[in-house]
Amino acid sequence: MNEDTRLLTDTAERLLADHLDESRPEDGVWDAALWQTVEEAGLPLLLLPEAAGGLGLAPGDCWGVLAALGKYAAPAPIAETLLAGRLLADHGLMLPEGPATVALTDGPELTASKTDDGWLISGKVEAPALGESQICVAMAKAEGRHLLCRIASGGLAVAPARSLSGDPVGRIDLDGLALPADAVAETNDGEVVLRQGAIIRAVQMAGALDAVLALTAGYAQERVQFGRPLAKFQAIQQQLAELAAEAALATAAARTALQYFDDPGALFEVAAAKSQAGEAASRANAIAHQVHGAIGFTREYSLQHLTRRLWAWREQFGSEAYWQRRLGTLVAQKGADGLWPQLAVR
Amino acid sequence: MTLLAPFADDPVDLSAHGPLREEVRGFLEEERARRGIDHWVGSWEGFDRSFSEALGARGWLGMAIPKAYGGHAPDGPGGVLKRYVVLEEVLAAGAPVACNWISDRQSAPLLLRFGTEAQKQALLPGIASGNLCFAIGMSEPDSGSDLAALRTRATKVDGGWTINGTKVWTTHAHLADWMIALCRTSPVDESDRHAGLTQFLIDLSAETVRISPIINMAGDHHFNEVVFDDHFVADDAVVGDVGGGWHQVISELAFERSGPDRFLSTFRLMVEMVRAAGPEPDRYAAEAIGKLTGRIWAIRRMSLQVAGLLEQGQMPNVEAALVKDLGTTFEQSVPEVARRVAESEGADLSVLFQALLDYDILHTPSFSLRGGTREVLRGIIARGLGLR
Repeated sequence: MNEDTRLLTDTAERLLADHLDESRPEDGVWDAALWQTVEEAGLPLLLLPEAAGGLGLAPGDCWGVLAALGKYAAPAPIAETLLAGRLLADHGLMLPEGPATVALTDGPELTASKTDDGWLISGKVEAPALGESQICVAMAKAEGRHLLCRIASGGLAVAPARSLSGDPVGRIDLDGLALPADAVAETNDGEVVLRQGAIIRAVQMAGALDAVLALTAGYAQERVQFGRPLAKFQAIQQQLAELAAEAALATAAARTALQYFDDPGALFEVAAAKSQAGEAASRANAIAHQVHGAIGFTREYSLQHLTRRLWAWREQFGSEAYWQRRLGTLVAQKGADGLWPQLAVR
Repeated sequence: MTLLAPFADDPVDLSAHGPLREEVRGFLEEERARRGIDHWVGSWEGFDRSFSEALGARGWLGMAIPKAYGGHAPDGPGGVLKRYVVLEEVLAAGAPVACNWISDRQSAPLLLRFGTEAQKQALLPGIASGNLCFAIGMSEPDSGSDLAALRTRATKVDGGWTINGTKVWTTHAHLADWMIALCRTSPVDESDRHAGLTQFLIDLSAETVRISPIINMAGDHHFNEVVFDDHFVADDAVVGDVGGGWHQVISELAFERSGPDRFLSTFRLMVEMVRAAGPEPDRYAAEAIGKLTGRIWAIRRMSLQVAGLLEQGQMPNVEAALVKDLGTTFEQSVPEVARRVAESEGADLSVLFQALLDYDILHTPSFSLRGGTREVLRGIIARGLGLR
């Protein structure tokens, strides 16, 4: 990490920490003040190339900010806007201002058919904060071709729902929605949304796990039972050590995957990082709640901001089972003797 | 948390060492063919002095030992990572490295750091060439995890020390040339139990050192009991400082805990499991293979980050404990997963698969014991978290 990215990370951390105190709105209430703050600080532009008005940072340099979005459990589609902007810029499409989102996918894509002056898009879209966003980026398929689509979702009738975290997730069922030609770009990389979405989520999850570890270790040192802090009990120490190991594992995996953010061939890294983030989240959440006892189970205490998001994020852009199946299939196809060369490629 | 910071640093990337990796792979193929061995089983339990000498002849031992002592350490940085490439290739192939393992991994760095000039000149060239084998002299009948409770005693006499006591679980003492033994040199001070311990070089061929086998539950002879019966060593057998043994032992363990040997012990079984499942595994087998693959990939990434810290000359004890805790747990899970994959649709089980499965089931209990039990490691991590 160089001096610039350290400064950027510090700024983002301070801004999120200041805003996201105990009075934070939750349960899908749109936090206009938070959005305004992050927008003024330029966070949504972080991943954009210079030509598109961004800072032109390598994805790996954005680690600190992306992880901070998880660490502070930011209840706004900041990561989604970052990703949507990057996807549009990389495909030569224009990004409008305001919050944007990305379709959650690990399954069948939208279908598209050509018209005289654009495309007709059909199928189901599910995306974080879909109802609150101006646009949604999604992949569609037309006769074997992959299309990256910018859907102006602002005016559409979105069915509101909430994920496990309480964050809004919107759904729309498109039936021949007309998109102009300049809202669609053809690409050879049909999995770019899934892959990059999975990497961003894995990084956010690593950030959230870092915070879960700090919160839980801190609580164990404060809470006194049987005349001593919980942290002095070996049974608690052993669990916290395991939590630290899982958080470290998720961090190393996500950080490596972020390095290959732009590499369409990095399926192995993405599959491993997202599935390990999910595995780590499952174990870490269980330990964090066990160590916290009843207070961690309450709405008022801040652990749930993190653990509920980890549970929600592990499902998005491919669950553990999904990525493990893909990874296992990949390994099986290359054969037993290809396993080590794949693992040790870097 | 600062504890996680090294894992969020720029990823260590070994792709620059691709040519070295290819060279090692070619060497391993040749050695296997030359010895008429289809598959190696056991790796760092496998003792073969001629194989270790072949490694040494290629310059792949003593990669952290300076050239002045017969080693191959580069003048600039890069030595730790190059050594990592060699180690992981050798282990992934299951090659028999027991003869050189202890000496190259921990005895050489220990001697380099704390040994006298004469000790370095006498012993390091032999380690680098693969024909000097070292054993660890730590555990005793009444001191396992509680190492500071050890009772082997070295008493000062004219011109040297007389050693009396018993070491146990000493891997390959019956084949090794030297032991570095931790002994008590002054009475226990209850306010500082770690004081008064000293490391000694012991020539294992001496008559006053009695070595007898301890057969493990798989029926193998790796362990030994080593009894010192009024064994005399000269003053120049002291390694480092008299009374400073504890600090030296702790530094030895950092080298021991984060390397590829902590997650590759059951890798050959994992390979044969993939072969058994075939190119089109059923859903269960695909997920199981993907789960293990994702895990080992991520643990290797962690291990590489720790190697990066070692390369910078740091002593990442807590980070190393994190790697070993996850790595050994992973190694132990492989046979359990393999048993289930064996029953997946269309699995085709080879004789080798069954042999590796049996071998690994019988050996996995030791993985979370050797080099510090899981509970001890988690205690170290807890200390790193500021909990104790």
